[in-house]
Amino acid sequence: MEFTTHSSPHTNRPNRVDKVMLQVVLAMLPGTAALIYYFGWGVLLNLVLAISSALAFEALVMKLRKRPIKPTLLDLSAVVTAMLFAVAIPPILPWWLVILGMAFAIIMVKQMYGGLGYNPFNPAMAAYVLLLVSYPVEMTSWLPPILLAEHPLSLVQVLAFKFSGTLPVNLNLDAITMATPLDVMSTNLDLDMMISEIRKSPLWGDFGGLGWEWVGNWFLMGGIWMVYKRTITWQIPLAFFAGLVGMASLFWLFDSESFPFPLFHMFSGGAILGAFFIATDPVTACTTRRGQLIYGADDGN
Amino acid sequence: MREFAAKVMNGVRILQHLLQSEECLIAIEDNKPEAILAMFQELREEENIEVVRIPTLYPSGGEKQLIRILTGHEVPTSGLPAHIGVLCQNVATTAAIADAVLEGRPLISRLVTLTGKGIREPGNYEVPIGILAGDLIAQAGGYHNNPQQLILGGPMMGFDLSTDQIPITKGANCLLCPTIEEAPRPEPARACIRCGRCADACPANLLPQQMYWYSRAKDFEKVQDYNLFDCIECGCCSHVCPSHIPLVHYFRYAKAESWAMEQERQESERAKRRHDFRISRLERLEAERKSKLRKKKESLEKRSVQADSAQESPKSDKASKQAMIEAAMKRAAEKKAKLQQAPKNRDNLTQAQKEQIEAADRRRDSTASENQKQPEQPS
Repeated sequence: MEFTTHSSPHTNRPNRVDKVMLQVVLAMLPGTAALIYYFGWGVLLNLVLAISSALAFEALVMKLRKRPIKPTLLDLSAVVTAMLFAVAIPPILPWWLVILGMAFAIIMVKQMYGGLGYNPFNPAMAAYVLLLVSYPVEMTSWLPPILLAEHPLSLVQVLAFKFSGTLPVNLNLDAITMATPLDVMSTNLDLDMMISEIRKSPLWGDFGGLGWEWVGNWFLMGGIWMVYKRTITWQIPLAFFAGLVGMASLFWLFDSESFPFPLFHMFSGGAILGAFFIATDPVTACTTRRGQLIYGADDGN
Repeated sequence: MREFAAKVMNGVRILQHLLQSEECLIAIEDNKPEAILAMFQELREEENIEVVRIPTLYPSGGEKQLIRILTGHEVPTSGLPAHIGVLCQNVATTAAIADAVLEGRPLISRLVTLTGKGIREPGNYEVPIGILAGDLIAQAGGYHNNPQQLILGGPMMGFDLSTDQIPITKGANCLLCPTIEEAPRPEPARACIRCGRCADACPANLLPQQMYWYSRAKDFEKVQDYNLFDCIECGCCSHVCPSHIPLVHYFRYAKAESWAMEQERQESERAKRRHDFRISRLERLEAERKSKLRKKKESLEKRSVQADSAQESPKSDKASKQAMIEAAMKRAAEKKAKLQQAPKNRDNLTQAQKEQIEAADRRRDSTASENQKQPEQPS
């Protein structure tokens, strides 16, 4: 009898790239839902825009490169990139900036270098930095958490602003946006205010920025689930937090009135997102576990 | 082990006696309690042989891996276990040693595991070495479920056979005949996402990902810098790879290419040595020829000088010629005498043969005398 031959091992492979990516997407869902809950429709619109445009650009490039389109789209890496980008940008970012960011991320950063596995930078973060440098005003116009907003925007109002730049009558951009907690802390400290004074503002929650801290918590849970599922290794997030909290504690112990409590850093911005979802991008992170510890700690600093 | 525990222990004792070793450990994975029990029952108080239960974790059967588990010592890169004072043997080998030493029975059969849903009656069979795999499977009920693959060895390291018309050798431990559901076709490989799971899985602590990139780039020296030859091809890295890259295949390729390169290098070195030797030999011959010519020339010059001096005494020349002729005549006479004295081939003959020869001689003499007489008759 004749047989066909393959290289060993002859086993069912337990891991798949699309499974890994799907786990990342799932782990991001709670935090993303919290972000939508606290910051409104804009986040959801960003997600829809980013994911659909990322998939479209990926398909376009694969067609131009004469490569199979379907397997590439189904590996979900473009979806992960789009989600990371969408939760990092302000909810009321104009629509074309979202698409520009995705075009840069997928075409320039990812596919121009050879596609998944060959990109020298995290595509989502490269796009974020590009927009931040090129459109600093738009990229820093964050909405306040809905709990604090004097004029919460409805879905129609968000749509109108995102696509035509028009705001409801009687409102201007300053009226609906607010600085992020880290920004407030930074500016007020520059004004020589004491931490205890700054903390009196209603912007603060229990230990971080109001709303932000819960977004952070949900992302943290997703992150811990990923570590538990071995989607990511524990080394990078742990070293990241050690680096961040270590550095913050050093300054806080030095002068607790001029420097905020270390946990404030962890829960008030994108630190958790960064530690679990961005720094752990396997393509751009270290491969060996020891390298990951060093790299994570460096990121945290 | 369960059925031949006593034989295995005898083999162990023989080995221990041969090696005069201080300690002997028998490692059994903890999912084989019957084997552990059987070996325990064969242990004797006074011997320093121990049965060790080790966790069931592939590939702890690998020599270097097993030594690390049991002793905590690492076998050095490109070293042998003997370098750290350890010898590692398979149970089947020890049983075969007992057979050979105690019963004088050479290794003419071995146990082969037939398994997989593609074989009708899977099981362990003791088969004579040299039997065709196809015949063995026919003995075990033949194929069913339309198998597409026949693997010699286990699922992780075994290699595929293209036909079942090959003999079972002493190294064949298992024939695996999986159905397409048990061992599906490998999916096309995707791009490496550099997740590093391969490095986590590697029992030899290598960096398969780096080795993969350099193998792909055909930078075989660099792959060897990453200790390619410590790779035992256990298949763990390929198994965990989310991109389904056939890493082991790449490493086998890199190894084969490295060997080929090494062989080529040695051959070119040998050719160079040969060439150098030829050049030096030609030079030597040339030098020898020149020195010969020079010597001849010198001797010719010398002789002409001598000839000049010889012409002055022609008398002595004549005398020497006379002497030479005499010497030559003497030598010829000596030769003739020797030929006559030379023994005829008549030694060591039996009496009958001697008589025959004498009779022949007599006949020859008589005919010769008759011949001499005959010419006289007509006159």
